[in-house]
Amino acid sequence: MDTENYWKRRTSRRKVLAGFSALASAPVVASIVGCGGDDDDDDTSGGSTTSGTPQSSNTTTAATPKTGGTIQTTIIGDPPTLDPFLNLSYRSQGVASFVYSRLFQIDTGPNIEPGDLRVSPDVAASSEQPDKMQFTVKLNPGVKWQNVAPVNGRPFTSADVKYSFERFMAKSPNRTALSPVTSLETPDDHTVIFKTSMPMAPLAFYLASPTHLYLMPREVIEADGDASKRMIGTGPLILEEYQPSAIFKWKKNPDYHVAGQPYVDGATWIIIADTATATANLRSGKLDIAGIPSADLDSMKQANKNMTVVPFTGFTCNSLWFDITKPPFNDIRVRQAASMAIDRKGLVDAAYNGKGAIQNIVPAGYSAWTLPVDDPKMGDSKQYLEHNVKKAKELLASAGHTGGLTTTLSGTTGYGATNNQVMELLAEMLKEANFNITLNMKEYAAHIATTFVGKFDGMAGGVGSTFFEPDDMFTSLYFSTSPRRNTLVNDPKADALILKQRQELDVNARKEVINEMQRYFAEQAYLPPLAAGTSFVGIHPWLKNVYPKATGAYDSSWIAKAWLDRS
Amino acid sequence: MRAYALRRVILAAPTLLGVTIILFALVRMLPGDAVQQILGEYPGYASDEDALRKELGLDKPIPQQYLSWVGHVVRLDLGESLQTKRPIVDELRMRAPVTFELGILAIFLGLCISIPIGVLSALKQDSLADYAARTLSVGMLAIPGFWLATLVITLPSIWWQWTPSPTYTRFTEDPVANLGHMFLPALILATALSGTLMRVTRTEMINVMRQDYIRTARAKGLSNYVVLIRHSLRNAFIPVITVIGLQVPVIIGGSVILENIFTIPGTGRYLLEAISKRDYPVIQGINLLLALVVIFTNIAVDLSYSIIDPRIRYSR
Repeated sequence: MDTENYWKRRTSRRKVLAGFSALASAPVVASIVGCGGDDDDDDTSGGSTTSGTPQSSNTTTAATPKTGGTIQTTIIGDPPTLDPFLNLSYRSQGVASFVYSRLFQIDTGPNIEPGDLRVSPDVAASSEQPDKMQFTVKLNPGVKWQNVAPVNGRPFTSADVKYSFERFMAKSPNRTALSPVTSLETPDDHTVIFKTSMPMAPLAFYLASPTHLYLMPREVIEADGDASKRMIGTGPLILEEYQPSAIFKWKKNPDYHVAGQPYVDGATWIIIADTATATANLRSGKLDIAGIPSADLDSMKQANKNMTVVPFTGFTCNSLWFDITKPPFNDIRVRQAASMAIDRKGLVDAAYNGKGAIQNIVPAGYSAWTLPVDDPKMGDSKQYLEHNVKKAKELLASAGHTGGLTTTLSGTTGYGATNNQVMELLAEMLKEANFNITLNMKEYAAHIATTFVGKFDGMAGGVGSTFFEPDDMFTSLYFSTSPRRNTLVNDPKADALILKQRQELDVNARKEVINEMQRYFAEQAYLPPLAAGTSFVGIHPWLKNVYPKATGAYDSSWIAKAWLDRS
Repeated sequence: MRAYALRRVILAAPTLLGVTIILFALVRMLPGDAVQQILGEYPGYASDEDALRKELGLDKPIPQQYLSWVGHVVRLDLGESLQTKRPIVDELRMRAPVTFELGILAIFLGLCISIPIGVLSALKQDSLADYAARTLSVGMLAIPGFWLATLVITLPSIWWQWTPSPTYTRFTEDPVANLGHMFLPALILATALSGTLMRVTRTEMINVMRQDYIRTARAKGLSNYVVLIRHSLRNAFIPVITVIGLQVPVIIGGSVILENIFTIPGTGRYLLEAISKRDYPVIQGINLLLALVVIFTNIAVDLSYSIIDPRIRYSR
């Protein structure tokens, strides 16, 4: 078969399907700025270029901020709960970041790329690391709780941090990330000291992450049992009304600790479950900012010539995975063969309309940590991420599967049309390398309950989990005691490398360890990476000072700096 | 008639009991359960699967779970959502009126569209107008509501940068804004309904117009209007009412999709989300409510016959 012609045919079919899906399907788009984790979707991916600095025009203006107005945008569905410690859905985390502060935050600005997750203070005033096992945070003394009963604007203190931390460690499914913290001391009202059992390079990031330590009031939780009924924090917005499946209405917190912010009077989050509806409302200007499915990108630009479109690549770990505890995938040669059967460039071209990125072990969205596949630092491991059907066949034959390996490739239809395309393409690619594949696409709930947690035969693939820190990703997917290992990896060398990068406080030295891990895991092919499409956020010209991050809908704290100018 | 109505209501009880058994069994036959779903998405949510199963009351034998559920249902307690922990009755109290309003509007618009066209089509049988009306009715039946809805939202946004308001407003807050938001989805739901009703109206009107009593009415010198409305349409209306009753489940099914597309916080959206999360109590609660609506709609349809046609009497 002529491979080039084959892929061209696949591409043109994809275009037809993309056009159709824009009208008929696209059930699960994470609305505002792309997708979130396990709810990842097809239609915000694919598009113009790979991630880069946000295009300037309206959003980078240095003019004096105007006050007033209400920002209107969308979220795809109701949060499972309003308490961010009880559920990791981006919907719960995204709404939490309006109301609750964190010690630090992910910085945004005109010269910071969406994938650059640098940390800046939120309620912290400063921090220092007197030794490798201690991290001291000084709190901003001007922070007050929102002026809502029962906290009624009382000062925010270190006791509130301690209470939130202890509750986080008791309740949050993400608590493992902060498990090396052995104690939290509060010598005075404005000082918090984290003591850890090991040096912990990503500690400051975890304290800034939109999926970890939100600062929540003791009074509300003690009165209600949790924070699912009321949202009262120290953040920029106060929750005014929540009507399930309809709307969130927020108003400005006049006591917010950053002088002058937020600039807007409030925000309206419309719960729009249908992608086409959300896109149409962005196009008509009824939404000020929202994700754009790649299929609608051209028509969106045509209708809104002054709209700023920000492309970025997310952090989702799209990959193949296997049950490596038993044959045939306990044989490294079989896994390597599967990895080398994948034409990652072909996936970008055919499934993402040429707009996306080839993934390494650390996804391309982590611009600070990922090692491009063709980087010389990949060394010999590069070969395992390159499309090489001949070598794949040889490896499979050397593993004893001379007549090919009959197996199943499981996935889900729950991530939408693009993921379905990826799965179909993967099956075809694997067949070319002598894997006799039966594609088994399951409904989303069945997939999550079985394939996603390692209960499947053969191999599986498609959209994976989303993490914002390499430590979180490696620990969750590769550490031998992690409950999130969908491959059931149990590799002492992997564990040692994970601990090594976590404890390396020098950024450059840590990056070297992470490079080594990318080489090692590429060779081991526990989770051969695939490719990722580009996501797009559209911002109307009247919405200023917004710089979307690749954390997407998980983090809405950009609202504090945003302002409206409809003149 | 009162005795007949009472008898029908009493006979609905075994039907409902059957519905509860089927619902309970079918939901549990779906691959993957809520516990695996929650732990799959959020490992660490509970210490282990058994602990979460116990917390959610799913550790007991299925018959015991069923009896417990039915016991609560008869006390109007549908339990809590496994995902959100919110009481289902509270959610339904908020959402059911929204879907009910959408359904009533759809039926009203469906009748407004279909009856005049059906009657016209019958009066002008085999004319160009009749063919046009019949073609229209087939088209209305053939076009899927979700597709029409997507076009209604998308095309105006491309052509004129306009979309209907995405913000839902409660009827009690602002009736005009509420009806403005509900009009388009109700019209789309009404489209398929109109196609069916139009065809039934036409057929029945043609039959009735050929009856002797119509000829007699004309011979008496009654006006066309009186013959048409009082003698023809009223007699033709019984099958139309029957079809409306049969279309209620179709309208409910259509509302699941349209509530999603038009951002309407009704039971349809709630159901869709619950199914995707294997939220058993919610799925059971909503479907039980919908079964009740269908059963009592059919009773109401039966009882309405005697109002439309005084010859029909329900004896003991």
